[in-house]
Formats: sequence, structure tokens, C-alpha cells
Amino acid sequence: MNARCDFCSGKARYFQRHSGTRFCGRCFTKSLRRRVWRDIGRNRIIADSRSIVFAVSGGKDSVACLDIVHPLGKARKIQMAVLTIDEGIRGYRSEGIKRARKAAKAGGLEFHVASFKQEFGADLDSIIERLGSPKKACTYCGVLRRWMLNKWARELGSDRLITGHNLDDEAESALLNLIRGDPARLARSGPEYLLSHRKLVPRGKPLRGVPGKETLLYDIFNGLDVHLGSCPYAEFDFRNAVRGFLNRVEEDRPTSKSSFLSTVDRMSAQARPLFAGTKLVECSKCGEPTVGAECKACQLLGSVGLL
Amino acid sequence: MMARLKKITVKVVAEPRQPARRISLRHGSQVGDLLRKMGLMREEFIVMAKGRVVAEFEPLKDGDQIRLIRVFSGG
Repeated sequence: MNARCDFCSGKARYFQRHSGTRFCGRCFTKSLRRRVWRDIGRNRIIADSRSIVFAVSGGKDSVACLDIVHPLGKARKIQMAVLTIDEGIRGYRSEGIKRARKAAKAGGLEFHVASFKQEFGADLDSIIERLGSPKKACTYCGVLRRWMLNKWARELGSDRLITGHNLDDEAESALLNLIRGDPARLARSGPEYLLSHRKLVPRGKPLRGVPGKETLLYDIFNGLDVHLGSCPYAEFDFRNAVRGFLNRVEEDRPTSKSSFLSTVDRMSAQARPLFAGTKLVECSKCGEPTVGAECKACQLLGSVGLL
Repeated sequence: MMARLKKITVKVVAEPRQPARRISLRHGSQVGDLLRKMGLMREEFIVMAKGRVVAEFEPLKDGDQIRLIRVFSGG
């Protein structure tokens, strides 16, 4: 059998199970770009933006995201830069930073690295040592990374922070919020950014509708150099169990993740009036935007004696 | 009849950092059959042969060298 692409009759390299479409690498690339550009327009992800910061880890999603969104930004004459957070994970992060730097250079963009060590006085490895267990590594890493991305994006003068979150990440987060019983967080989720504050750089997730497998295919078909390693702390995260569950469901019933996410988006839109009073204020300790008196980053840093 | 009984063996290297394995399959097996035999999900792996991505319906031949790339998020 020599299956052909449904669009150009070139050799089929990928079968998109949810649509029943066969793609060669070139037609897949065209189709994915069109899909992401359409979502960017529909969700006004870079509408009215003058300056974008791309959060790039050097992994498959952020590098693909930069490659897809960069031409749009260039056509609209938007100022763009790449920001990488160095959490300080021995044997892992440096490989990603190399790829992020290379991706920034390929696009002719300014490249910035901001490190936990510089910002908080300790890298993630030493925070884990202080905790005595890697079980909460992803909680600390995620919260501190988001805090830094926002602060640095703002200080770089950007009005939009673009991240490479894909459909898998978003479906996992939605299910995690349901499992944790966090309706307020669920109500704040969705393609649009609802809370605003003068210190909060609005975030955009152009790959929100794209499965992780497709972002990696995009990288391979386009010869993009990405870091394929997995974080040594990731195995301890509960998200892993949720990811495995969703992948098994998707395997049996393609489109499950996207229909689940769109259902949750509709539910969160319905739930929004219940949390309409939620306002962002400045953290009493660091001054960064937060929903409580003290932001989560300061709480976590305080718990390991770094504040 | 003979072709149906014949087996093929492919060499599989999974990334990142997994040792090579030899997997025996029925003659006429496809890439999707290989993943099923290994207990892997199509959602979680990209399959490559001779440096190119191959689709799940691609037939396998005896002696094929297959590289599996794990789709891993987080980082």
C-alpha cells in the first residue's frame, strides 16, 4: 500500500484520525498554519498588539508556536522577542535553552534568558532539596515560571505573552481543575483572557486547538530543532496520570480531547457570572498581580525560606 | 498461505534513551500493528523509518529499522 496525500497525491506521512485525512508533510504544514492563524484571528490573540514576547522553552510546542506566529507578527510589523526561563534543572534545561536561542536567531529576534537563581536566589534543584521531595516540583516550577514570564514580559515592554500550550495541555488542565474542585480557576480559563490588571501582560495560546503530536510533526516536517527530553521531575506530577487517562480515551475515540475542552469552555463561560467579583490586586509582598492578598509565588517562596 | 504464516522482524529504537528492541510481527503488518503489539498508543508516538515520518497504515518489511519518538509535553 502506498497511501497518498488527500490534497496533492504526494506520499501520505500522517493520518489525522479525527478527520480521516491523509497528509504529506507539506500539506500538513499548510493546513496546521492555516488552522492556527484562523484561531489567532478568531480569539483576537495578537489583535492590536504592538509588542509580543514569545515564551520559548526550546521544546516542541513553543518552537512550533514561534515558527507559526512569527510571520503573522512580521507582516503586522509587531515588535517581537523571545524569552526563556532557566529554572535550573541539571542535565535538562540547558539543552532547551540552546534550541530556544537557535529558534530566536532563525527569526532574527532578540533573545532573553531569565533564571530562577537570579530572580529568587535559588534554582529549582535547590528548591527541591529544601522541600526534601520532588513531589511538588511541578507546582513550584509552574507558579514561579508564570510569575517570572509575566514580570519579564512586562519589563520588556510587551503587551502580549505568547505561550506554546497545546490541546493536550489545556485538556489536562481543565480535567485537573475539575478533579481538584476548583470552579473559580475553571471559570477563568478559556481562550479569552478575562482578568485584567495594569501589571498583567495578557497571554495568548495560539496552539490551544492543536494536539501535541501535531506540533511535534510540524517541527519534524519543517526541520525545526527541538529539545525532545523530558523533565526529570515530570514523573512526579499528578498531571501524568491525567495525561495517560486522556490519551487512552483519545486512542479509543479521536476528538475526545477537543470536544471535552470545548464543553469545559462552555461550562466555564456559564460559570463566569458566579465569579464576576474576582479582581486582581497587587501582592502585598512582591507587588505582582494576584487574586489574593499574597500571591502564590510569594507563598511558595516563603514556604522554603526564600522570602 | 505461506505468506500469511511468515513472520517479519523489525528493529525498534524508542527515544529518548531507550535500548533497541527486535519485534516480530505477522507478514503484511503495518506501523499501527507494531504500536499495538508494543502496547503503545498512536497518540503518544511518532514513527520514523529511514529518517522520514511514516503513517500508521504504512506496511512494514522484514529488517526495517524503526525509530519511535515519544510525544511528551511539559517543559
